[in-house]
Amino acid sequence: MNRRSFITKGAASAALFSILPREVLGKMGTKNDIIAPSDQLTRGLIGVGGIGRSGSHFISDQNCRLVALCDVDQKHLDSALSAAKQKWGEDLKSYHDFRDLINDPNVDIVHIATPPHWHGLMSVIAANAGKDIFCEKPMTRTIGEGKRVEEAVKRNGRVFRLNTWFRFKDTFYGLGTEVKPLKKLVDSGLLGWPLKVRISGATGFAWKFFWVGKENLEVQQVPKELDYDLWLGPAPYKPYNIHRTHQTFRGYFDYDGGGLADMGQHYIDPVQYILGKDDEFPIKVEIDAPQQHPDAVGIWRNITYTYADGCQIILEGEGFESKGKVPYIEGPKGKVYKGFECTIPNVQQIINELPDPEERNTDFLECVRTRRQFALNESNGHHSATIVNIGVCALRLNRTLNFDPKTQTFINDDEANRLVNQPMRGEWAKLI
Amino acid sequence: MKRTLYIIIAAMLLCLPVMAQDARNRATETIVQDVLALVPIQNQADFNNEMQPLVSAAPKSITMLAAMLKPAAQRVNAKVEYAIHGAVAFAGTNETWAANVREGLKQAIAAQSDKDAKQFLENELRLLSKTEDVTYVAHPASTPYAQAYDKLVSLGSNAGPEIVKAMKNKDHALRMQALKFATAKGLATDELAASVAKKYKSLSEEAKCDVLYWLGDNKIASQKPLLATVVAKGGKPAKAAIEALGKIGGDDAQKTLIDQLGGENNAEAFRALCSFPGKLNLLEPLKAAEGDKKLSLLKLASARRYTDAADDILKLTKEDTYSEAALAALPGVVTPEQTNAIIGALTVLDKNPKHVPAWQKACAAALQTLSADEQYKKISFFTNQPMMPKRALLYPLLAATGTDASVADLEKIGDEAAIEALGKSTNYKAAKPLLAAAKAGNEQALMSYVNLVNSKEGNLDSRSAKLSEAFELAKSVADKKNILSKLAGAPTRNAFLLAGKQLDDKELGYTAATAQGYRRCRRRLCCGCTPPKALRDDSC
Repeated sequence: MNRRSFITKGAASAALFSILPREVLGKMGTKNDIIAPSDQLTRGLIGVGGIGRSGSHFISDQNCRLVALCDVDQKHLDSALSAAKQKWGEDLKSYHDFRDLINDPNVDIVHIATPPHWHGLMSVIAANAGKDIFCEKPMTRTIGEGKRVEEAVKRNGRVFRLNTWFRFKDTFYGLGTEVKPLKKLVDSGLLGWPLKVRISGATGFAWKFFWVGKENLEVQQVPKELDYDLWLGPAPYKPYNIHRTHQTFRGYFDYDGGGLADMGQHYIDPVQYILGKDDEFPIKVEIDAPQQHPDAVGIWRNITYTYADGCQIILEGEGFESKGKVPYIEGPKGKVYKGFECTIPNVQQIINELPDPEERNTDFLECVRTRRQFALNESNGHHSATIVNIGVCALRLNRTLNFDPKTQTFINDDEANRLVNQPMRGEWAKLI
Repeated sequence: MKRTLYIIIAAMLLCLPVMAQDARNRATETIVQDVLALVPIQNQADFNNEMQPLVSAAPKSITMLAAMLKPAAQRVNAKVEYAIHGAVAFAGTNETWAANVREGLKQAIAAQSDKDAKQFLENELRLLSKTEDVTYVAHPASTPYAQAYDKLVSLGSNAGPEIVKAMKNKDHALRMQALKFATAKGLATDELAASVAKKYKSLSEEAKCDVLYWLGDNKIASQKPLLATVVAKGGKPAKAAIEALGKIGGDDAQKTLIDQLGGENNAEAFRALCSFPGKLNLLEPLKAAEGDKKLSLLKLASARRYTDAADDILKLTKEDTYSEAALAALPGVVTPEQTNAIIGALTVLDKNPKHVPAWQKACAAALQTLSADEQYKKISFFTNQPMMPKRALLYPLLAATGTDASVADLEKIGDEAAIEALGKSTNYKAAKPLLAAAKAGNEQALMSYVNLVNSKEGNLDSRSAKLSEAFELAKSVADKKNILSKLAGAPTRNAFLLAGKQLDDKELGYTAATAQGYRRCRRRLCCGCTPPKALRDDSC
């Protein structure tokens, strides 16, 4: 019997742990630390059809073991269970209804990898059930759900992590640089204030306009393996068509918001951080787009957010980018382009002399153990999700909207406020 | 005659209301048909122009549109949906319009028998509804966390004593909830911190750490004496206190942190100093330190670009104990002033060949703030000296300037070292000598040429032709595959034909096929269609 099967044998193993010295079990975990099963964290994964099966999420190790899976598509679930058996030799618990996974006492962390129309509801239910949460972006589909998640996480003393990371690591897409030097440069004041940030193909960001919906969808038979009613959950009932589900759900307002909502938090959250606006919201959003279908998301040309201090975030749609050499960040005293090309002389030397941005807690498992707030959490995550969501509201109504940061509602626009809190179908409304 | 006339007049009078009614209906019908012909409307100005008459004609325009909705299976509703949603979106800006459109939707819902159409109309009506449909259920506090949180909320700005009390709680999550509440509600003041600090000694180790992290997160400078004391005592709390001091800043904090370098808390102190706010004073500590502390200070000087220490660190490269660390730190601290000393060390003084890359890196770092021409001037002063020892070690630095003159110099030198250096140049003029070397059998020069052409040649036909020529020169399978993959980025007929010839090759066939597959995919989006059209229209 090898070490791995030792550990996974349940009660027998537990008994053995009490009589066998730790060293007999060999070195486990990272940094050669031995991690006893009682110290291990466990994770339950909801949604194993797309991102949940990616190489970075379909993992299990001694620091955090994957113990349960949930999906409303039986084929996806079976495939994931089989993959888990092959990879780790383990039979994971499987669930059809996510509520059962959340209530599983063996699950410490709930990983939400479903379409966005579920993110808010599942996060609230998980927080109320005393679980910590790892949530894929966008954090929520509506502003109201974001508020509820923030409240529920704080109220229940939970640790919440939003899964976008460019504010603290990795090259920031086609910009060709990490966020850290940009943050240092902005904090230095050398560019002046206010600043304009342009997120566009011209500055290295693709808005994925292929995530558009289709009109006049054919009514199709629901496949046997899919529980369509539970897939829809809180979303309005609409006749089934394969394009509504599994990846292409991104093209429908009921579940997501096209490329804007799909990539928005990846692109906009670091900007919010760079500008030091984790506690602020824009006060205005302007839109230039063709009229949108009520159901199928279409393309757009330009979305401009303005803050109270004059800072702006400008989104340019694919095919509608500014021409020529376009700055990523533009201030009254300087500009920054792709590849960290800057109009300020010796900028690299100046940046190097500045202190690093303040340390943040970027180890989620460590945060779960120490109960510290993760670097991208329910609060700043809600703020950057709201930037995306007010853009979606403006897109759907095809007009400029003014936003009140204090109440997180639109000013003098009841119709826009109907999009802040959107009704949930049936029993789901009672759970959030 | 008179009687006939009266009959005619009476008939005309009877027809009048009908004619008037027809005029109204046609007007609304025309408006509706006009909108249906135009949706989806492409810009806001036109949208506003078309929607205004539509909403002005509500509720009739809406009921007319709604009556056109068919069962979803017929797949014909898109334009009507655009029109109705457009009217709803536009009407939201005006009370009167909203009321009329709302009325139209209500009538339409009452008349609608198809459930999907009905739901669509109900969703639209909701956008203009007067009362809030969604109410969020306030859950009663059912867990200890929710109860504790609700208590804090009820106390509001007077929650201080409750927060202090929470520090005695055994539950980590409850303690953190209280501290996070204090931060979120602006209660993290010197006063609260002092109250918490009074209880510090009696807290568990875990609770102490929670408090210390919280002091740092909220930059409570008044508690620096406590933090310094905790650091001195060591253990887990010391690490938390170090992080806190690193966030708060100040000369006293800096001294405490520097004192921790090289010891048990070296990693934490180093991290804290990397992000320490304000300028660091490292010169004296660096001079005075020995052993691990000195090594940490060298790393820190480099990380914080402490140029004041450049000369001292240069001297340290001659001391056996610290030479490696000093060399590693140099790129972070040197300026153009140290260029000559670095070149001297690289070419003459340092006999250890393993140090060459480090000296070259330091030289590049020293020059980086100068313009390309100034860099070239400094380096070429040495490379143009025939008696210059080991001048080949300077060739990569010359090439890195990227100037035309540097390419010309290296081409003139022409030996293996010069060609290798040219391979790193970003100046497209280097392509010519690299190709010449490739034709003479230099495979490394060939791949450098390929990379340069691929990144610099903007003209697709020219790029394709040059890469094709390179393909014929390549000898190894790996190089040929590399070039085939790059040809995918130059979608020309020439590239397509070249790849086609390789399809039957056992080793190259797959690469050729996948490269062309990518090319086809790109062409799908390059045929003039926008991505959405390409996706919606299978004929594209």
